[in-house]
Amino acid sequence: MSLPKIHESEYRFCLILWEHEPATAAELVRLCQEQLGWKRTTTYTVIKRLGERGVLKNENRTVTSLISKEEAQACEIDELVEKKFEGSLPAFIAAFTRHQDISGKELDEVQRMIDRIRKGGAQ
Amino acid sequence: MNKIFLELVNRSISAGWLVLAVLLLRLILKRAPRWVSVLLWGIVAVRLICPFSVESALSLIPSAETIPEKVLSGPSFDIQSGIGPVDDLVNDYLGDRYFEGITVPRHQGLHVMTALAVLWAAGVFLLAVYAAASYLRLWGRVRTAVRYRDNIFRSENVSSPFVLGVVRPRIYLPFTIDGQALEHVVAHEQAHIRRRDHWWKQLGFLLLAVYWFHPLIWAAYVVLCRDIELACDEKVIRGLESGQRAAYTQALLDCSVGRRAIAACPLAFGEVGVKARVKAVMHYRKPGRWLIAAAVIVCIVVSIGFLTDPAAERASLKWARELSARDIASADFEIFLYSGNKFRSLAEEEFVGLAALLNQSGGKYQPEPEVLDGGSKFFHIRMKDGTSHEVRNIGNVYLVIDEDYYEADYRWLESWPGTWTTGEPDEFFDRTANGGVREAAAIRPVDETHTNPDSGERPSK
Repeated sequence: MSLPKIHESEYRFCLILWEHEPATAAELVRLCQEQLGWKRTTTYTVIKRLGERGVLKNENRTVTSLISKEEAQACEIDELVEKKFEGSLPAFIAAFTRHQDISGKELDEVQRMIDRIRKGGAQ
Repeated sequence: MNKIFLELVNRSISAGWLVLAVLLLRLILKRAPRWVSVLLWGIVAVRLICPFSVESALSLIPSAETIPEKVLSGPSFDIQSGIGPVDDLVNDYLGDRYFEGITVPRHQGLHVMTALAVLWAAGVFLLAVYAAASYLRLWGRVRTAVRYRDNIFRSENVSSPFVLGVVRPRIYLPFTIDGQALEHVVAHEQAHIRRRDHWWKQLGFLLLAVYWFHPLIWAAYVVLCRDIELACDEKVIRGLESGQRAAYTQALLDCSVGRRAIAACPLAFGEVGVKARVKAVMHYRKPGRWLIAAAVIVCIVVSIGFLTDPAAERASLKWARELSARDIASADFEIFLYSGNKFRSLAEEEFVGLAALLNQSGGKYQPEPEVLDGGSKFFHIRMKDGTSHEVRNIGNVYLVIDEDYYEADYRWLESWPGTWTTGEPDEFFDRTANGGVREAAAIRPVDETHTNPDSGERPSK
């Protein structure tokens, strides 16, 4: 999947956007100032840049995202698996389970997801 | 601008001695706390900034005005570095080769100085531009940094941690630092801020920009940066238990990526000599009270020795060294012998030679000279502004200018014209009536003295 690249700082901005969209630029400025410590001009610049890259759209001073959080996260995982696990998802999962302590509840959830995939549904 | 440049050159030479002393002292004071070193660099800064200074007999600086101002007006070029052999070497070499209007074009000194001053100003400008550009680029990169807490920000454009900002300093970290390492790094950067290092480094670079022509100042800046980092490490370590030191050094190593040469602005965590810093951290021991006391005493001694200037030239010596032929109205030469005085007036063409000779006057002022018997040679000089001066060579031992005794160089005194023996060449002298010393003020214009040998002046001394 080739989604536009989102840098770490911009990702933090997107998190705010996904939580509060649709939002006016002014609201976003206020939120970014509070949570990220950004100046007004910085927020405007980032909105412009992400708009140019196709990550969000800015119409009539309302900003909405063009890429959902799940899409972005999936893209990150893809890139991670590609780069660090030579494209092997099982290897990634294996490493993941080895490293983290997964609770019983999480295991069930993962199991359900795997089952869903097997049955052919997306998401 | 010439004068300012010349003053800066002289000041940097004085400061250069201090830098050498500090570099030496740092080696000796290796076990002392690092903030002592930084303090010593502070003394260097004072020396470079202060346009005036106190004179003191305790000064350790050879000379406060190595390149005298009269270089700008010519005609000859002499340096006064305060170190005999160096002075002799340079002045000997230049003595025959540099005389404005004769061996080199007129105003050569002025032209050369002006060209150098322009070059200096260009250098300052370039360094200022470099610093400004560096700063702007850095600010641009960390604009999208997100706040972690308080004044600590993180950004993907930061490769190693640093502090940016003079008034409201902010700490910038890469995203990749986490957990305990992050706390150590933050502690280090906060120590920098508490020590005001972000000011001192800027000041250091500013001074470097102004005195960029002096290599020792560059050395001083590099070592200053290193000492600042080490002092900061010590400050952090003081608050840690020994078990945490290993974690601190680990954080140091992890951050030592992408080192730059001399960075104009940021205080990067891993920037300077990581190996040395790790060693220092691991071997750190709280310094004893005696060591600190000794270090403070050293600082005081250095301050007195190098922030004060050597005693200024006495007015009489200054006059002789700055004497210019065109200011001389008349000059007479007299030799005092047992058999009587020999005397002659100097022709106007000889004023240049006389001035050149007297410009080389020098030597330690002697407030209580020995009383000598024996021959003397006198120059009685009357200036165009009406003042009169007398310059005496007593037995090739003392140079006396207007009653001030100086222990001048023997060979130079010997080089004065005229001999002690009685077999003087005829063209040289007239005799005075009573063999006494002629009062300078009483010297008449050239033509009258030749026709008036029994003017019978009273000796004035």
